[in-house]
Amino acid sequence: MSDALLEIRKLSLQFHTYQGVVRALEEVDLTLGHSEILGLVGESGCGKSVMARSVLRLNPEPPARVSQGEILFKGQDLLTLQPRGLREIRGRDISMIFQEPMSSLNPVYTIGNQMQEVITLHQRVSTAAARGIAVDMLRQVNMPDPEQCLAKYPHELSGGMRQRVMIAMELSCKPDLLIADEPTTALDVTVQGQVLTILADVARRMGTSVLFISHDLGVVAQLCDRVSVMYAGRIVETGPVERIFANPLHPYTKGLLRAVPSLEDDKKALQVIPGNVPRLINPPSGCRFHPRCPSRFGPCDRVVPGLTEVEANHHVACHLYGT
Amino acid sequence: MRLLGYVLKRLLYSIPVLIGVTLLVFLISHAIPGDPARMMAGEKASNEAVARLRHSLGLDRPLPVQYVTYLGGLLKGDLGISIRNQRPVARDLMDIFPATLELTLVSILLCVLVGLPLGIFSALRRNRLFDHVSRVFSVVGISMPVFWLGLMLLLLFYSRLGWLPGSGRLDIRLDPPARITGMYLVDSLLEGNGRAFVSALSHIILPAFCLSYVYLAIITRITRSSMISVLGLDYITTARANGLSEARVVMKHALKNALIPTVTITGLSIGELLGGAILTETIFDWPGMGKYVVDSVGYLDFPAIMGFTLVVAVVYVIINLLVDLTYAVLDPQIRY
Amino acid sequence: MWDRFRREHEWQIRELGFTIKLLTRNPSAVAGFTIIALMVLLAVFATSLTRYNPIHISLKERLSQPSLTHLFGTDELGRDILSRIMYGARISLRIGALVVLIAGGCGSIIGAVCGYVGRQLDNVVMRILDVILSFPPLVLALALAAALGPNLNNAIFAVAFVMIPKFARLVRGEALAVKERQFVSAARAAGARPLWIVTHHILPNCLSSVIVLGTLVLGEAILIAASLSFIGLGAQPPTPEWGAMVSVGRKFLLHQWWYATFPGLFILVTVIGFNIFGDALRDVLDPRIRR
Repeated sequence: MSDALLEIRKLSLQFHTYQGVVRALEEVDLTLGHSEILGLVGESGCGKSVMARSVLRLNPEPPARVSQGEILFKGQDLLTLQPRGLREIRGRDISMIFQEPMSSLNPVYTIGNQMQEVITLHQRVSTAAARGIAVDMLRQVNMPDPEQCLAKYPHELSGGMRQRVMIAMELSCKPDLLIADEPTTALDVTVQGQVLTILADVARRMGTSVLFISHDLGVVAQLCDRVSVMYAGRIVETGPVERIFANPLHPYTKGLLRAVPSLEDDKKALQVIPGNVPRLINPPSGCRFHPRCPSRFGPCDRVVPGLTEVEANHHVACHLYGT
Repeated sequence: MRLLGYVLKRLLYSIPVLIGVTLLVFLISHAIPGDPARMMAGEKASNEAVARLRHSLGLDRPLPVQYVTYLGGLLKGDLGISIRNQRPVARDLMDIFPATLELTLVSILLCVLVGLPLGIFSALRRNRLFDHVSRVFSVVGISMPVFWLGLMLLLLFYSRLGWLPGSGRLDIRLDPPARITGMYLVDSLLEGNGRAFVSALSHIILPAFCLSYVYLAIITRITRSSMISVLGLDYITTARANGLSEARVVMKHALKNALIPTVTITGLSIGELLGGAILTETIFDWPGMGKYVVDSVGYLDFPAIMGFTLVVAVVYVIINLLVDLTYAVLDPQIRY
Repeated sequence: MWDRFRREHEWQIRELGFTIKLLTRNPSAVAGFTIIALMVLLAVFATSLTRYNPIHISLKERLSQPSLTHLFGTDELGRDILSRIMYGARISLRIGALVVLIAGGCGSIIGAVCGYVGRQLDNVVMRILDVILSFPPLVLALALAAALGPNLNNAIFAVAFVMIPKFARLVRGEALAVKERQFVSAARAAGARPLWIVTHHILPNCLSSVIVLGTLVLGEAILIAASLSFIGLGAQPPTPEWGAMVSVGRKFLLHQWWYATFPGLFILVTVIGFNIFGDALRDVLDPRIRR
């Protein structure tokens, strides 16, 4: 337990808006070990990005409020950290890359300027040394002509290249954890594979753990060691990647896997999960999936299922497997 | 290199605009009812005398020819002769230009030094008391009749409180400093003349504040909204996620982006200040171009009015050009 | 017949109702509208609200202080200032409305045609508008008003002329966006004539932006016209236009402060009203806010 790099316990977060209170995260449990790649999967709107931003407390505090829970990073609760301590961790111990490479870099400063800024902030090195580190990182992400790249502005690079720059920048201080919030969703399919491979390679080489957020099961299957499935602000299943795909336990996970079109069975109609993702202002009672669940029965609309271990390291939150 | 190309392109574009400006002024001058030759010759002159005068002034030539002559004269610096005092308008304007320039510069300084921080703080303390107060101030600013504001300022600070003088640039009893730039504040400093400097300063405060009030409000508003937009953008989240302090995020990453519209508006405001100076200078008896044109209106001194209009427009075009170029320096994306 | 209109324009009527509902919930909109409504009432009912004839001269009462009989005092000819201000409201509102109608009408048509037709026409006309925009508004209005002759109608024309490019630019921008949309291509494919497309498709889609701009320009027009009158180029005495009144009041500023103060105050408040309302209207009509 205390061996884990990142441990999120019973994290609950709400957004207070004009329309009401949005219960974005409800008692989320997540564990990530050293040098491990964990995938966090779910549909749009399930709260994955909120979850990702919560680790570094990037959700704007006035509308967002954490009502309970702990985020333990190397044993220390990030939620109780002073702003100064939090800033030290950001970029140095925990880094984050975002979904939109087109807008994640400041358009009025050069790549070199932005990278060196982060490096000199967290490491006691001279500007020249920082430059060297930046060039080295760019080389590691296979940027053609790294030195030239430093002098360029973000808009001079393509989306895929910008995302590689982001990877280089965020890994430049050798963090223990990298949070990747759908890093390839906004990229062309052809570029996606490239960026993912680079990300996985560099992370493994440096021993960095990755919290990889995505809605794309195929990508997750390729990249991750373990997977957590999220639905409507709750974690419904967690386990090693092979087990989740070979033996999905939660009805939602099963539905997700069935909905992926298969090249062999091209005669069958796509199986969709009926219904819509619930709005989190007034989430369903009990198990949040119950309105759409084909296996719904007695307690599902009243009692919230907790995570239980069904097989080795494979947890699920479903009444079918006993609360 | 791209920057140079952009500069040249912009310069080239300004030329047709400048020509258009001269054309518009020329056309307006010719919309003036009445016969200029008759007006110059006087009521009592005979018809032949008026006809001869008209011919010598070239007023009986076709319009396009007259325009070309006019343009030629402009390039030589000839803006016509003032009806009021029979002096070349260009000379009159050059004499009084420094007064308006000084007033405009001090006003801009006020606008920027007060407006920018006000706008930034408003954005940072959004929806709190400070923000609400400065938003009210902004709306009042853009709705303000400048001439009325000047009168109210005079009423309060000159008449009731007696703190500040009510007209002119300098205490009557003092001699103006030796004319190097024509701007009393600068010249008195260069001369080491403390008393003149203080007097000039006390005389410029009210008119500068009056003139700048409207643009102060505008600049505050633009800076505030621009800052708010920028602070919501993704790269700001990236900067925070990298551990940069809030001060650094705001001052380095947000500010340069947020300032772009502010710079544009500030530049445009300079041109508008030249126009707004008309009212302020009149109220405060400030002997600048604004007062000159208002006096000219009283005499229906059209050469003077048109000369003023042309000069202000040309300056405005040049300022817009400079603003665009500054924009390109600040925002690398524009250079394409 | 009214029913047919209702059916055909059901969606527009619903949108309008929704807009009005949002406006009533917006404090700035309510405040701005109240001010505007107040001024309109003053203007419309000026004759019944005051028992003083605004041009009635009473020399023995000249330049008297604000009192119960003359709430805002009297001017140098003994005329009641409050009454004159109320009649001045008529003038200012009329100026604003005329300027917006002229500039808005001409500007919108120019902008729509340029935006839709594009190419050479667009280039040339935009250059011309650039030239007009190269003058600070008051300066150009001054030159025009001076050249045409100092009276109120010329001033209105001068201010309208200066405002045309604002509308033209706005509508052109919207037209450029709208003309790419599918219903326009569909109309063209069905053989509709360009003029019909401009009036039936382009212009209606620009309506909300034009209304917002019109509200803001109304305030600005009142301000510029008052400034022209102040200089002597707009309304001429004895017309009780607010700017002209301040101009005369200036002579008596030091000892009869009320003369210049009150008319100017009314200018300020009226323009504030239009600006606040225009801003609120812009926020309410913003498609993102409307969800």
